[in-house]
Amino acid sequence: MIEQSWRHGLLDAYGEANCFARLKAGHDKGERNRGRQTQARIGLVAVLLLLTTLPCLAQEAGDAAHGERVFQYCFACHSVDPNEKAQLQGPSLTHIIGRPAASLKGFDYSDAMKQRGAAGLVWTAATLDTYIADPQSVVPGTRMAAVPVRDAKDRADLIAYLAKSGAWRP
Amino acid sequence: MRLTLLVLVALALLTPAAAGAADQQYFQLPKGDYPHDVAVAPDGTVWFSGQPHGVAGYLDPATGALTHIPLGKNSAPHGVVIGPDGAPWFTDGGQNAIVRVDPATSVVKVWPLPPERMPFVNLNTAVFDKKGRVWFTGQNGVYGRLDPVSGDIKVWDAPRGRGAYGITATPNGDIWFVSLANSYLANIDPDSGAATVYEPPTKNQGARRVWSDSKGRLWISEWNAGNVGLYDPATKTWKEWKLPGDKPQAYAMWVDPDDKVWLSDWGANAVLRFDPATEKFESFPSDKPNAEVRQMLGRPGEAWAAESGTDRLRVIRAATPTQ
Repeated sequence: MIEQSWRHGLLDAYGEANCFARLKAGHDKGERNRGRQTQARIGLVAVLLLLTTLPCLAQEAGDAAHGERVFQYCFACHSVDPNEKAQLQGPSLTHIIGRPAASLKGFDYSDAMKQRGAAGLVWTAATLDTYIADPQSVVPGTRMAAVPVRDAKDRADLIAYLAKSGAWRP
Repeated sequence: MRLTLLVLVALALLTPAAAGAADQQYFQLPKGDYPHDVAVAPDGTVWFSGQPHGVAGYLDPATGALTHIPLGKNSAPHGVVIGPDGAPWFTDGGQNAIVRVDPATSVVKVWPLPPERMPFVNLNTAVFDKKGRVWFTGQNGVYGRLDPVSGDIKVWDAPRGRGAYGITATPNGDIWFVSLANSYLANIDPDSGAATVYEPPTKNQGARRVWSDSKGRLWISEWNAGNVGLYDPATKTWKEWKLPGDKPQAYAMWVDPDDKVWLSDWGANAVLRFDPATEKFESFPSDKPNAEVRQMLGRPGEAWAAESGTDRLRVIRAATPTQ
């Protein structure tokens, strides 16, 4: 019978993200920069702030506990364990929120994914939501042949679960 | 509901050069059909798994008629094989179930896996044993057995966890599967369900699919390494051959009745035929880029490939079909 070894990769390996602290830090950083930066610089800070807070927003929008179960659709090829040793066909999903597409060093992405990454695709809660529902609509030619997650609530929960590892840190 | 339409385009291409005296034909399916796996019945009719839309696809190559049969809510079939009853049987990852379609009535019968502790196993591929039981893999790290008569389903953990992928039955009824993530070949005891692991010579080779030849030898497509591997249980010996090209990636695997070994190579965007006698590869490149053939099956004289990347089915016919 099935034993619980599969859960090793599914169980939350991370502490709860301190969303408030990160929101405040981002806000303070914006305050310090005000009046000293060019408009373009402020725009960049705003983008970074958005990327930093997206995991929090995603967690608030979905049920991460249920998302862990939805993650079983992804489990065969992806891991959220930063110390994963298995040789998986998909890239690590640790810190996926805010990560530019095809940017994980050492992973052999498809040409289609590389092209979308070069064109500026970033994995936000919104782009992930569309991709998980219909991968080809976001990255035509992607090699990911996954069970499409058709239920919007399931997708929101899954993204909330993925967001628990925290935002992308280049 | 059964939806029938004519295949949009059916191209017959004669390619006498690299492919030798073989002809081939492509069947263009509607955009987004994304045939993951394909199986041809003894009467020549063809079934494919339409993973994104949750359908069984049914093609009559003689007329070009194409039918889509919805398999159920949340369906996302990965694999399809033809059972001893002549019906297509699907490994449906979306429904987490083994699914049969009656070819005459299109009635769909679903055998859900037991949900305890793992609601979704990412069902991958199935094969029948001599007793009419369905053996299957789940890429999340399980394999199992369904007795369609009694409805009994057993599920076991695969050694080392996730990765269970291709599965095959030998002529004497032995069941073997491979693990993509954990790079091994395994034999299943049909009574106890216990799996015994056999390690290919190349480490982390990424054993993706496996098929038996007429002598019970196991041929393996090694995705990471770009090899075709061979394990002979009778002599307990291994042999591996590197596919041609700069960056071969072996995916599909099927051994025809003449014991010629068919593979897909994503690096070369081609179907390959390997002759164990001469140890030579013959290449059949696709006429479109990124064909992404994930699985092949066939019958005497016909090798069928599912081009998931181009929404097409492809058949390569040998000049002198084996009877």
